[in-house]
Amino acid sequence: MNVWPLRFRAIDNDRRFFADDAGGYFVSDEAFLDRYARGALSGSDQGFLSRSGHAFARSGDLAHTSFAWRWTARQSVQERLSYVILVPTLRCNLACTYCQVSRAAEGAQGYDWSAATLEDVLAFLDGLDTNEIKIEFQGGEPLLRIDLLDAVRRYCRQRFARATFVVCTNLQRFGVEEIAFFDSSDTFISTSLDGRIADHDRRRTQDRGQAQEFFANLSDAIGRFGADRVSALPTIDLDDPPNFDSLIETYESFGLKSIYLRPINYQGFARRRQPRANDLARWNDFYQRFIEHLIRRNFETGQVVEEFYFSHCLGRVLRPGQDGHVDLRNPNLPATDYLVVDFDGKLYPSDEARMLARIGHVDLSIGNVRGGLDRRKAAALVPSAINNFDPDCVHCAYQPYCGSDPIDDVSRYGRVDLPRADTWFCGRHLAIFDQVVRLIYSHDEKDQFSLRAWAGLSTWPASLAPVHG
Amino acid sequence: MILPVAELFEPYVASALVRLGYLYPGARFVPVANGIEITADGADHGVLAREVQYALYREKIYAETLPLRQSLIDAVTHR
Repeated sequence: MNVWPLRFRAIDNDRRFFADDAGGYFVSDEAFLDRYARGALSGSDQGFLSRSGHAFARSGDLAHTSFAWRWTARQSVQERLSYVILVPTLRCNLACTYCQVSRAAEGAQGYDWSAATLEDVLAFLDGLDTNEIKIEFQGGEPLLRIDLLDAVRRYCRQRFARATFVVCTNLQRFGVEEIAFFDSSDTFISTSLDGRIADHDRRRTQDRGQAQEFFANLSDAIGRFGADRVSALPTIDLDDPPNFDSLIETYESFGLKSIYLRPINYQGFARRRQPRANDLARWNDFYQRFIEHLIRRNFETGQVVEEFYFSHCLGRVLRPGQDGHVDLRNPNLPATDYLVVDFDGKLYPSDEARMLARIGHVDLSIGNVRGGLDRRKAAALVPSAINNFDPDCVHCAYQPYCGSDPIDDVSRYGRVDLPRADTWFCGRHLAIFDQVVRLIYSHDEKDQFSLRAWAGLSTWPASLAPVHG
Repeated sequence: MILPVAELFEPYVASALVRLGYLYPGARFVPVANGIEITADGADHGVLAREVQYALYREKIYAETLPLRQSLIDAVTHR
């Protein structure tokens, strides 16, 4: 019998979590680990591993082939460019303290696409080898150039068989023109909502009137288009964190059941605020407590609210193919299925890469809409975009569920070759997956209530928490 | 303290120490005749000993299963 490589991690004093390269997992004890490492598996061990898909008899048999299929399904395949983030303007009508994009003032000149750039963008889109396209408008505040958004949307609707559009907006403007633009089933709103009006005001608008205007606009948008077409997320300042209940209640008051907690990203203007040495530990503590709070609250109220990223990580443990979120997948090859077109027509592998260039940190542009993609430069990031054989990830039980983020490494450390364990990305995801695994193996009905809902299951079968020994 | 190393793990001591060296920069791991000497001011030597043992396990598992991983990739890429 051949046992596929098993990686392990202690989840408490007694239990060890084991996972194979295809994401199959189980919990056992130190004695099993010792037998496995010494090559002294018992008959019971071998029987369990064989029955559970962690072993095969010979190459090409059913167990071998099915493992190969599961392993392949765990690899993110990015076939063609079909998701483009467009930045038609860098101007914005807010000046949030932790703006991540180094936006320009609303009245500034030279920060919008020119007519020639718009033509180049449309020609670039026309050259894409896909029948489906997702366009995300970023900024600045994209609604300041609704004419450009409309031009792109009109073009995409006739060029592609299926096209969807997301506008990342602060929703400070929501008049007749904006409402008419959004009144279409292929167009979605993504906005920022940091908590109650007072919280949102303090962190973003710094003007109570503007904050109230935003709340009214958000309410109007959801009333007109439904919560399915509107999403919101809070940016969390660890020096001024929101009260959990007030944050959740605010989201629920708008009918929003999904909250995506995002830490301040120390790029753009936010770089002026220096991160602290213990920011990772503080974030992990904050995040873990929020998840625990959500679990208690969901059970008490019977109403389920999720933290989007935690649900996503849970999904990545439970099943392959959960690769729709570009921040967490493996491989995550740059400029394959998505890229960013900046206000000046330059191409970037991600929005974070664009920010790094804007602040003069490092130029990670990989071409422009007129000249096309610089594949040689994009290829330079490839080795760091695969975690399978990273010297640390290759020993990590969470590798099949995790990813990598070389742009974040460059941003924080100026290099991509740090030991994984020393990076924010690794430390953050180890903590999340530790919590996911603890919950998967919890027998507490409160935990299982939320877990079932977050995973989209009506029951929580024992097969999802396999144990050996 | 000195952590005894069983004979079957001896081939993996060198690679384990390289990894331990950067994972625990505040500690010293030195191969000695009968095992690995662990020195670390203020650290829990019991925890460190377990990490050393795990590092040896991991390096052995990695080395012994590398052909399986290579054959898997060959199989799914039709090489």
